[in-house]
Amino acid sequence: MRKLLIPGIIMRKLLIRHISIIVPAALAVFLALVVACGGPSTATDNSPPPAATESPALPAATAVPQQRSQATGASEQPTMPTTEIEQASTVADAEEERPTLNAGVIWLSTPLDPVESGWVTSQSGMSENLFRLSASDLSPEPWLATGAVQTDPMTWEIGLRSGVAFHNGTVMDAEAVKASLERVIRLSPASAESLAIDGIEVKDEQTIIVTTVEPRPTLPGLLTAPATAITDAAAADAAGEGNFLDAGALTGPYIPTNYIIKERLDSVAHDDYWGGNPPLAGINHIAIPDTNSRELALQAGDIDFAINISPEGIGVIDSQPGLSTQTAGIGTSVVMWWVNFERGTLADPVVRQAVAHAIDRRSIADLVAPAGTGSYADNLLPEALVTCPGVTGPGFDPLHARELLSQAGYVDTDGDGYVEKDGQPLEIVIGGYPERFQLPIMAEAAQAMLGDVGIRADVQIAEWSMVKEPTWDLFGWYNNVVDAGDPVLNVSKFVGLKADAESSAANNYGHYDNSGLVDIVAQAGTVSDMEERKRIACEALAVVTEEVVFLPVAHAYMVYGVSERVTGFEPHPHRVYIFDHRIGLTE
Amino acid sequence: MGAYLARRLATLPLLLLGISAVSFALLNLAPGDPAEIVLRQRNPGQLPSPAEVAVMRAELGLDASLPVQYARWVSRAVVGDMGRSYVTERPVAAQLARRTVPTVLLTTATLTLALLVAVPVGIMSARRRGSIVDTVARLAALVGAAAPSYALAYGLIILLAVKLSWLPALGYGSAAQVVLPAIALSLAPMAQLMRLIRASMLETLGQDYIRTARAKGLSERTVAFRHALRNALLPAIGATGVNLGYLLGGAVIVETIFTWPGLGQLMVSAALTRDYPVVQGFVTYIAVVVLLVNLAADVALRIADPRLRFGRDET
Repeated sequence: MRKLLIPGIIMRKLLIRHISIIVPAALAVFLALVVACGGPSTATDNSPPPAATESPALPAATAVPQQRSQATGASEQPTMPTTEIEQASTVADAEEERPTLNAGVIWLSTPLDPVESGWVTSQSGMSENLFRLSASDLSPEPWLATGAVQTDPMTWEIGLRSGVAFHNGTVMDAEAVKASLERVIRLSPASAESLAIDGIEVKDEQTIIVTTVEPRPTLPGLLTAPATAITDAAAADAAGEGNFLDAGALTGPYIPTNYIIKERLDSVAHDDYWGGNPPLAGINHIAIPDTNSRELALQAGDIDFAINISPEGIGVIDSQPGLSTQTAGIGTSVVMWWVNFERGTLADPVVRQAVAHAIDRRSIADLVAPAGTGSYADNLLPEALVTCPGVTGPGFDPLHARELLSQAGYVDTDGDGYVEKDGQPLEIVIGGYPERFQLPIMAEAAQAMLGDVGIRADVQIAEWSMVKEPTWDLFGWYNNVVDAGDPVLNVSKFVGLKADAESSAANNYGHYDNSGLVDIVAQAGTVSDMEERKRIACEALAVVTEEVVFLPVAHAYMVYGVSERVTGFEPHPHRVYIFDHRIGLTE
Repeated sequence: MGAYLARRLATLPLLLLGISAVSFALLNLAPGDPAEIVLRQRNPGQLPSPAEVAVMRAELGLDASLPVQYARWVSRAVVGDMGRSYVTERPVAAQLARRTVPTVLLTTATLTLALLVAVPVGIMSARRRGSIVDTVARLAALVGAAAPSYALAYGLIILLAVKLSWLPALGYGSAAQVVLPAIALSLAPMAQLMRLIRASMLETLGQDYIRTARAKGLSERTVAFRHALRNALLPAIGATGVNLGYLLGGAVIVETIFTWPGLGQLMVSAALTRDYPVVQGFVTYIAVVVLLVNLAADVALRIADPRLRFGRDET
C-alpha cells in the first residue's frame, strides 16, 4: 500500500503545485515535436529571384482543320482515387536559384494517372495532350501535335512535335504516342468509346495515322480531353497501379514529386521541357476547398496564387497592395441546377414549369456571377461556344408560377402560405456542394423565391456525390461546358447521350428521358462543318430548354487571385489550363 | 489503485465489443448498397448491372450474413487490420494513423492553451470575486463559450495572418501553423474550464477547513494555493478528460478552414461516401480513445483526491 501511496502523493504534488510549469513545458515539448517532425509547409519560398531570362513562347502551331464530331468527353468531376498518397522515390535536388510558387487550389482528389481523369495533372502543368483548346475561340489547336489532316471520314493523319521528352528522359515519338493512346483505350472505357479508335499506325517517327470505327470529324477536339494526355505507357505500366508518380511518364513543364490526395501536390521544373526551362523551381499546389480560406491565405501571403475567387473576394483582393485578380473574361463553365425527373414532384411538367418561373435566375446570376466574374446563362452553353436565337428559358414570373401550381392542383388550403395537394404540401429538396461558393448562395436564394409562391424548399449542401442519390429535386452544379470545343458534344453530354447518340448513361443525373433527342444529336454523326454543328446543338437545346431539363443560372469565368510577384501568367478561359512553363515569381 | 486499474482495463474489451457491434449493425441498416456505391465511385455516372453488383458484394464479403461479417471484422481488427477503404482501397488503419498525428497535435496544443489560461484566470476570478477582473473574465468566458468556432477562425486569420502577418493563415507542418487553429478551438473549452474552476474555487474557499486555515493566521495566498486549489481543480480534471476525448475525434469545421489534415475531415468524407470500413474503424478508434481518456481522467482524479482511493478500493 505504501509503495503505491508515495508515488501517488508525489505525482499529486507535482501535478497541482507545479501546474504552471508543467503545462507550458508540455506545450513547448509538443511544439518542438511539431517543428522536429517538419513536414510540408505552405510558407512562402524566400529563395532568390529567378535569372532574368524569359522562357520562349510556345512554338507556332499548324492550324487544325475544322473537322468536328460528337462525342462524350470525360467528366471533370472528381472521381475517387485508387490510392491516397503517391510519393516519388527520388526527389529532384532542391533548387536554390529559382523560387517555388505556392498555389491554392480547390481540390486535388483524382489520381495522377491521366487515364483516371487527367484534370489534376493538366491544371498543374504536368501533362499535355496532342491538342488543346485555343484561348481565343476554344477551337482545338496543336500542342504535342503539329497538325492533323482528315484523309477520309474515318482516317486522321497526325503530325507530332519533335524534341519532346517525358519526365523520365524518354523521347516522345510516334511509337510512344501510339502506345499512349492504346493505353488510354485499354484503361479508360469512356475515352475508348468517345474516340472510337479502330487502330493506330506509325507512318514515321513524327507521324501517326489513326483510323476510327465510325466517322469522328472532331477527333482533334476529343484529343483535348485531359484523360487522353500523352504518357510514357511502358513506364506507367511498369510502375504499376498507385505508383504512377515514380514512372516520370508525363511531358509537361513540371514534374510531380509528392502527391497527397486532397492535401497537396508538389512539383519541380522539367528542365528538358520542349518549350524551354520554366523560371520556377517548381509549384506546390495546396488543396484549400474553402473559398474564404483560400482568399485569406492569398492575402496573408501563404500562397502566391489562388483559383476561383468569389465576387466578394475580388474587391478585397484588388484593393490590397501587391495582389490582383485576373480572368480571361470568357465563361466556360455553367452554374446550374439539375432537375430530377425521377423523384416525384418535378416529374410533373407543369410543376417543373412553375418552379422554373418562380426562380429569378437573372437576379441569382447577379449574386453569384456579377459583372467581371461571369454572365447570366439563359442556356446551358455559353456564347463562346454557340448562340441560339429564340431559345430562351422560362423567365421569372411568380404570378404565372402560382397559376401553374393551381393548374397542377396545388393550392394553399390551410392558409399557412404553402400550397398543398390532397393534404400533402409541395416540398422540394435543393442540393449542392460547398466547394463551389456559388451553389449554397443559389440554393438559399431559390429557397426564398420558391417560398414566395408557396413551395416549401429544403436546402441540403453536402458532397457533390449526393447528386447520385435519389434525395433531391434540384441539385446545384458547376461544370465545364466547352469539352472539345464542340457544342453538340456538350449538350448531348448533359442529357446523358454517348457518342453514338443511342446509348444513355453518363452524366444524366436528372434521369431525363432523352429518347426524343437521339435523332437530333445523331444528325451530327458525320458533320464536320461547325456552323451546322451549332445548328444541331441549338435544336437540341431548344428541346431541353422547353422541357426544363436544367435550370442554368450563370456562365462563370475563371477568376484567379494573383500576387504581384507572379510573372508570365496569362489566364486561359478553360480551367484545365492554368500553369504553364512561362509563369514565374519574383521577390 | 492496481486492482482498480486492472478491473477497469478488464472491462474495456467488452465495452469495445459492444460499441463496435452496435455501430456495425447500424451501418448495415443504413440505406444504400456499399457494393453499388463502390461501383458508382469507380465508374462515375454508370449504373452498375445486378451481376456486377453481385460480384462486388462477393468481393467485399457482403454476401455473408451480418454476424459472419462482424466476426470476420473483429478477427481482423484484433490484429490491427481494420480492412480497406471502399473508396481509396487503402488500409483503414493506415488512413486513421496518418490523420491521428495532426489531430493529436492540435488537441494537445488546444487543451494546453485552454488550461494555461483557464486555470490562473479561474483562480484569480474566484479570489477577487466581484472585482473588475472577475467581471471581465466572466464576460470573456461567456463570449468564448458562445462564439462559433468558424467565426473565431476567420476572425483570427484576418487579424493575425492577414492584417498583422504574425502567423500563417493555414496549413500543417510547422509550429506556427498550429497556433491559429489551436486558439480557435481552445476558446470554448477554455471558457468552460475557467467557469468551472472559478465556481469550484469559490465553493472550496467557503469550506470549514479553509476557515480554519485562515484562523491559523495563514496568508490568503497560502490558503488559496496550498489548501483550496487542490480540491478546486478536481472538477477541472474530469472536464479536461471530456474535452480531450471530444477533440481527439477531430474538429471538422476548424480543420476545413485551416486545411488541417485531421480525423474530422476523414470521418465526414467517409460518411458521405458510405465508406463503411473507414466509418467503422473511426467509431472503434473513438471508442478506444474515449474509454482510455475516461480511464486516465479517473486515475488522475484518484491520484489528486485521496478520498476516492481510501474511501473505496484501497481500504
